Amino acid sequence: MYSRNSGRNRTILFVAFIAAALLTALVYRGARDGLLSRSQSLLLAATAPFQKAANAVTGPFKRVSQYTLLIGSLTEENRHLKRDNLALRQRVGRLKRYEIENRRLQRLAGFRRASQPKTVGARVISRSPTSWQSIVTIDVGSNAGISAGMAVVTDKGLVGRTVRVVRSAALVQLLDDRRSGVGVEIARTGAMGIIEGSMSGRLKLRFLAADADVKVGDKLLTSGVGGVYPKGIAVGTVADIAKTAYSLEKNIDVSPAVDYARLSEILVVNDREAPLDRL
Amino acid sequence: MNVNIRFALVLLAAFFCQAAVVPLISIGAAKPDIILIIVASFGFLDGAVPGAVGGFLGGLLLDLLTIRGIGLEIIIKTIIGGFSGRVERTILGNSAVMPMLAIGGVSIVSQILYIGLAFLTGERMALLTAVREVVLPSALYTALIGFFVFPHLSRILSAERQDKVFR
Repeated sequence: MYSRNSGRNRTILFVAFIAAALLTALVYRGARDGLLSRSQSLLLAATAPFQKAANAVTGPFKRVSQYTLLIGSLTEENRHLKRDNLALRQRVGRLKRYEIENRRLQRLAGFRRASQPKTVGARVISRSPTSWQSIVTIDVGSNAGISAGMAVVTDKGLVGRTVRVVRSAALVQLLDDRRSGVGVEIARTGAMGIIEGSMSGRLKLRFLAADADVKVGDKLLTSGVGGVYPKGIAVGTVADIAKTAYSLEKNIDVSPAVDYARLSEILVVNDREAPLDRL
Repeated sequence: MNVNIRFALVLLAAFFCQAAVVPLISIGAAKPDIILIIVASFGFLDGAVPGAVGGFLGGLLLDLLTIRGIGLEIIIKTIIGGFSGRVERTILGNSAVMPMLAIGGVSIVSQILYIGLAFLTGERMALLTAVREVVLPSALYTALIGFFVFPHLSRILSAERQDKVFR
């Protein structure tokens, strides 16, 4: 009796492992719109309302606690902001004059003026449910014209890209996800490399030419190579450069332009062709 | 109600909890694995085969939540469910702390397996950083939640089997 049960148990365990391995293989070979991919979209659509509700319930408490913590520094910050505002107003006036002059010169030279990119505003309703990936769920989807592979930005810079979209929600893979990568160029020199996510929350600049001129504090912008991200979006700033003993490649840490832990409102760029000089 | 149906309902609730609540209660990179708690508890209470089958279903649900594609979590949770079933409740006894330690232990095993399998699928990961910043804090968090949840799960998932004799 014991041996028959034991044999049956082993068979069930064996079948479970084989099924797991087959499913894995199926997915790695599977089409993007296959059955499993559609199941994932279905579950995203099913969980999004719960995520939205949980976010709506906890949102006010989170905001109150943030305001309470900040109240001491608000007066000081307000004084700084007033001073900055004055300086910025003067700068805006100057830039407006330059813009008018620039437009006039472009007309003279026969250039076509770059249009503003089309963007869709969205709110983050949930974050990654596991520790091993860096994603957020946003509250707009295909009903707002969003599709997979669109760049996601804030006023500070690049956030990531949409990877799965259902009618009223979408998953965004953040730049600090270990599997994300984006082609960048150093604003100062134009040298190109690739930004990859890492465990620590910082980004890594890789595949930079060995003799490339790079310094701490260099600004990095998307290069537009690869076609996913439009050219010219701020990605981050070089924070640390270390030479490793056994590698030709420098180990370059990049501090991201966007604080991924505090994302609340974002913009999805649904116009891949437009340059994003203004973001 | 049949224990398997109860398990399925608990697993479904855990899935929605993992999707909607866990992101709100995460501390840095540390996120509790609610599905792991359910799968491991089912294994502890009902044995290796129900644990492995439960792990398969739990892993499938967790994989459907991710952008990685399906497979890694299925394999991991199936192993964890089967492994937990080997521990069974004879070892856990009536102690309140033992289930917590066991859940913390299987959480560490589960995450180490993830790192290993992710490496095989081409993901680069700094092992020490991963252990320090993700594996240990997440295991601790999962164990802590397991401490409060396991007694309830024990009642829900094993009521029919109280007459089971362990020798």
